[in-house]
Amino acid sequence: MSQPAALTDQIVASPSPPKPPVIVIHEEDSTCSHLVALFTNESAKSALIKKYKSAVTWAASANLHKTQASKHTAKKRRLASPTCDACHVVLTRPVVCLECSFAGCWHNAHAVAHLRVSDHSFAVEAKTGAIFCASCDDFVYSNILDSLYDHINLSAAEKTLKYRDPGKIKEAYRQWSPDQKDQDFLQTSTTEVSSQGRRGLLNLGQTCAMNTILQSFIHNPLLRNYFLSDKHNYKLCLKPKDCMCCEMDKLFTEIFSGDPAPFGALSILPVMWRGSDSSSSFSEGYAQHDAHEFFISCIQHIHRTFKGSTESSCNCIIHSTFAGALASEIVCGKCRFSSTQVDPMLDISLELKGKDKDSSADEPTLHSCLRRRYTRAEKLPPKTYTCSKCGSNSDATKRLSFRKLPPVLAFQLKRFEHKTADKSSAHKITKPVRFPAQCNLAAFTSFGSNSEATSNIGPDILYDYDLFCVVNHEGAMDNGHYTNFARFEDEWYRFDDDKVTHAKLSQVLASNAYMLFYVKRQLDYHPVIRPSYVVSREKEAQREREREKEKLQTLNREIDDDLMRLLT
Amino acid sequence: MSEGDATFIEIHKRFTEKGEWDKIITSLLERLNETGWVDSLRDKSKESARSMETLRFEKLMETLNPHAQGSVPEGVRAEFVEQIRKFLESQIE
Repeated sequence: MSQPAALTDQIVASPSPPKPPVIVIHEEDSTCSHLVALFTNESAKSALIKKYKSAVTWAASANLHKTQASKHTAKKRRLASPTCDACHVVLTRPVVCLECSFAGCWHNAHAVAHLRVSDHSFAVEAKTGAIFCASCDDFVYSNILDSLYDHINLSAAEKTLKYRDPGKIKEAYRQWSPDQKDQDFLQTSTTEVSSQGRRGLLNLGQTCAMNTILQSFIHNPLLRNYFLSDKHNYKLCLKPKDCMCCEMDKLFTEIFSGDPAPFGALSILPVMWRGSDSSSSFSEGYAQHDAHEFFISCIQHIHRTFKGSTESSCNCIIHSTFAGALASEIVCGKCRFSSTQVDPMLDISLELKGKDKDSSADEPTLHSCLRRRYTRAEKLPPKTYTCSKCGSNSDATKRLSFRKLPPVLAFQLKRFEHKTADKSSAHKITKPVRFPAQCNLAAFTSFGSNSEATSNIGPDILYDYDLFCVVNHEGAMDNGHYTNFARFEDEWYRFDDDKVTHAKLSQVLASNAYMLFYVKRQLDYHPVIRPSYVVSREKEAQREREREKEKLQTLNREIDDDLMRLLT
Repeated sequence: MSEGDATFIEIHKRFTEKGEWDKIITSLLERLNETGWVDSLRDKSKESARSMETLRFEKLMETLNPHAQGSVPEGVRAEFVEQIRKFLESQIE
């Protein structure tokens, strides 16, 4: 249980035979003409890349050691820190010359001074990989060095990741690059379309809740990649009637069709109505919907119509995207005996109300809501729990934590309060909750909150999440309107039904969020295994070939025999 | 090099070599992210860069630095100054 491997999710690596990692170097694209000129000389180019690699690799591994060491004071390791060659200050962010062995500081401008004096052209800030060009007198961009930087940092982190099998390190990430056959096919048989998929959705009569959730699906990288890679083709589906996967496939086809006009997701509504349980409001077909309710109904529906979905440990697209696990640990106050129950989860609902001990005056944050629920032990009211060991039923404490973090984490901030079952008495909590564009959830996992296990939690990148969609509810409880923000790469857009506008990050973060969607920066994956159906198909083909050969041989023999008979 | 500089270099060295520097930076960043400082600076950098006619790193730093320094919440600043002071005192006999 000490392995973070339990946090691994179900993303399967591409089933291709292992090859050494290749870095795909695209066409040169740089903001600096001096760098482009230097790169035309092959030997100068490889010398510079070699130097760049060693500087960035050093910084990446030093950084990993430090973050590990700063967490665990027990294994404090002394690393010889480099110092500035000019002023001898210890370099926390060294700037390294790419033409000699000089390392200097940025702050006192010693690195730049070195380039001037020695007539060297380029230096790198090793921690961020940023290139400084002396002739431009500024930092410059190069796509080659940029992708090299990403690759080096990823492989440095991969070396510290453990796999499901203890002791084995994680298989290196390999970028897919088309071979000649793929390339020919792509050139002759395909047309390029924009990969941005930004299209407004028409309001079909109080369907703004649905529209925001559909936008959250469209901008969800895991769902998008699944449907765009044709894993469920609605034209080939065997049970297309009321199939939500087909509806999703049609939606993605429409969104990425290149047509800029707003799209009306007409066919999803009747499928939702027919597929929902009679208890849900969607069966009525007219109610002003709650976006979270729509989200839950919709993902359940996709899950149900997914071919091969199961009730437990399902690997459908919904479960491999949203499923995580929560552990609730109850400790008996008398004998300290603890029992842990693990429950699956698809999303997290956070209470906005409650006693906040640590933030007296501060506004509530996503972290403070999470802390209240997921790290602190909560006293159980007496007589609600009986210890199975000593039989005591008082003083027990309960603590929730993430046992397995999902690839996409969906939060609902409980803004709608229902005091009674009667919906008309409900009211909306309008207080703002601050949420970050990036967050690290290590502290809320079963490992992170347990001080003994922290040495096993692995590098931070396992717990980093990026915000990609925010659903907002504007107006009052019963006549409000839903809008959302969604991110494509590093740009944010606001979606208000059919209207799509560019947005700033500050607008997104200042909005009164109702639902938040975060995606994990580093997805876990299984080691490369050839899928069993491919293996059996190949075996079958091999057997078929042998049978054919045998048949041919018998036939040949028979002909030979016949010939012999004729001759004799 | 003045005596003050030499002292600074020596203390800075102890900070980094004992791992205190990284410990402080890590927890400072965590706190600043929760207060929204990191995101607001990121947003401001991006929007300033977007609106600059000719993008220059030095110029961008000049516009951002006062904002970045000035917008650190008082509570966080006090807490980390205290942490640094404590380490300093433990280092000076």
